Amino acid sequence: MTFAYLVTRSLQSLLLIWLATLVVFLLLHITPGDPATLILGDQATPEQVADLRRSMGLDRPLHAQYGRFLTHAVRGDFGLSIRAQQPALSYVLARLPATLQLSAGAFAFAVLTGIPLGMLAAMKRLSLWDHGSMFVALLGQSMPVYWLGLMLIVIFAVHLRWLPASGMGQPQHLVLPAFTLGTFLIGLIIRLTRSSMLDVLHREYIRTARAKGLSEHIVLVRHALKNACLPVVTVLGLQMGTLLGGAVITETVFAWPGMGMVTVTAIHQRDYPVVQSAVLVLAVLVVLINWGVDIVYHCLDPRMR
Amino acid sequence: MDGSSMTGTMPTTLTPPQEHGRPLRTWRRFARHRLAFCGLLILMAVVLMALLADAFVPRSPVAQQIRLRLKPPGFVDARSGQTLWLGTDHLGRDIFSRLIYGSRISLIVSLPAVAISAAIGLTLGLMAGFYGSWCESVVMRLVDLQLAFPFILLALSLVALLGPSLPNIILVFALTTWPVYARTTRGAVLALREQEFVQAARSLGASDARTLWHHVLPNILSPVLVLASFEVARMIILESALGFLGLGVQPPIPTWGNMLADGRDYIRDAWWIAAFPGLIIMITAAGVNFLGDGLRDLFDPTMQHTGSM
Repeated sequence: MTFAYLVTRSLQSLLLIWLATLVVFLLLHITPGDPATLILGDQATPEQVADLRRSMGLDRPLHAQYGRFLTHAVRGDFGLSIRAQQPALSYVLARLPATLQLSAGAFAFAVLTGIPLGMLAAMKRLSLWDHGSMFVALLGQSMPVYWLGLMLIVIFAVHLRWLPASGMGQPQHLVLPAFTLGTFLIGLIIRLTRSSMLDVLHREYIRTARAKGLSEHIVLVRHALKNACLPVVTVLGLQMGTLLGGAVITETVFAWPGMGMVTVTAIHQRDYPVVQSAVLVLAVLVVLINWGVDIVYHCLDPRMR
Repeated sequence: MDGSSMTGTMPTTLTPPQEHGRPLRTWRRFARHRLAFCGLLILMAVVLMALLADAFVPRSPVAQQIRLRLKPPGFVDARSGQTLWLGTDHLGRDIFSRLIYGSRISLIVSLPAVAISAAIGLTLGLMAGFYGSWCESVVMRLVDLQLAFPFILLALSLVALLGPSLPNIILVFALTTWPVYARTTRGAVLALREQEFVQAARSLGASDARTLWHHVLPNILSPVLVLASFEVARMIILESALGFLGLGVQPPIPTWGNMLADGRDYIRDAWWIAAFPGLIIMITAAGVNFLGDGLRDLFDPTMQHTGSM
């Protein structure tokens, strides 16, 4: 990998993170009305509002406020959570492992079922496998995830009593949420793997590999899948934001104590320091994942060197 | 499917100036695509349902009857002799009637939101692809920025700040979903820019505006149209998600999303409150997706002979 690529790509990510801080800062300032009044609600006395305005620095010009926000943000200081009365960032970060656990579970489930289904669909084109996989893909893409979650709760928690409906801790707590969130991605993975495999299977190096007398297994896995994976990996990297967004809703359905649930609650309670730090943390996470994916892609694909 | 991924399966080869004047043949090809035809029928049914809601709802969607609360599907009201096909919710409101009215909000939000975001994305993508240089960098960084935020969180925060009114929801959806169009458009324009007929127009002295309007735009409309149809499905689902999280169009107006939110609180005793709105969202979204698949096969010459499954 070229050093120059690493540098440009990293600078690009830094630029994105800086722009993200700008968006998160402006989020609170684009609102019609005064942020201090918004935070305190309608019942606050003028003195309380004036106090908060001063402590938030709202009496200063916008660029000065942003400067202050940025210097504090760099040090990890987003102010105190209004409801929890503790630093907003650490409050949010404490919930990050739960969200990552859920996302990783969902991702593993989606990849482990989606890629084989997509491969089967491509190999046995226009067969029952193909139509079946495409139907599953379509269903996954047309279903509201949170509804799937609710229905799974009805079936597996309320009626069959096999799995818990909410909470976290034991492995069985992860099953329903991970399945729910994974379904969100499966459709995409099946479609991508299928079209990418179909594309690769017609290439001449596959014919060569077969002509050499290699076993079908080796041809498919070593020659076809390895090449078909590249577009899948890139798009999946780009979908991380969507996955984390899906986690927000899934967490709400299953009362999974992750960042999504905290953020949704904070949005309802107008706890802006928590909302700002959570949105920024997730955005930074997505930028970093995409950065990683691009670097890996660059290393994997000899044509990119 | 998330729209941004569609670029991977979009028509990659662009047909030079499109042939006009064979609508019948085009229609036959579309009708042969059975799933797409089903999709069109589903979408038409939902549109009719929204337009004619007043004509065929059996009961008022907002009338509460505590006497009839939490009745299961198929329950027969002994006093009026009416059958409650899909049951009632926790306030005794008729779920069937509410579903029909809910279709209005889904369409009123998703269609304008898709139209506005497609217009924004198309314009920015055209500029980025056609002019290149700094214009392209700015647009593409904006696209990256937008895609870095989990869409639903950004939409939730914005709607919470601006207030959950219908225009605000449409605006927030439009302003947070344009990047997928910008990306697709830019890619298509980049491929077109070097083609002979565009080069010819420019060397004959056509202005940028004329080249874009008469030569570039007609040839990128089909991938954008396909993308937009998939986006309609996504918008319908996202609108319901917003409603589910309590930030959609507010009660008492029935929406599929806020019906699901009600259903969640009674999930242990009355599964039907949540089950039916989700089912109709899925059917509608699937219909729109079928339609999108059909349009894609129709516009993509490489898929012509396999599209008739």
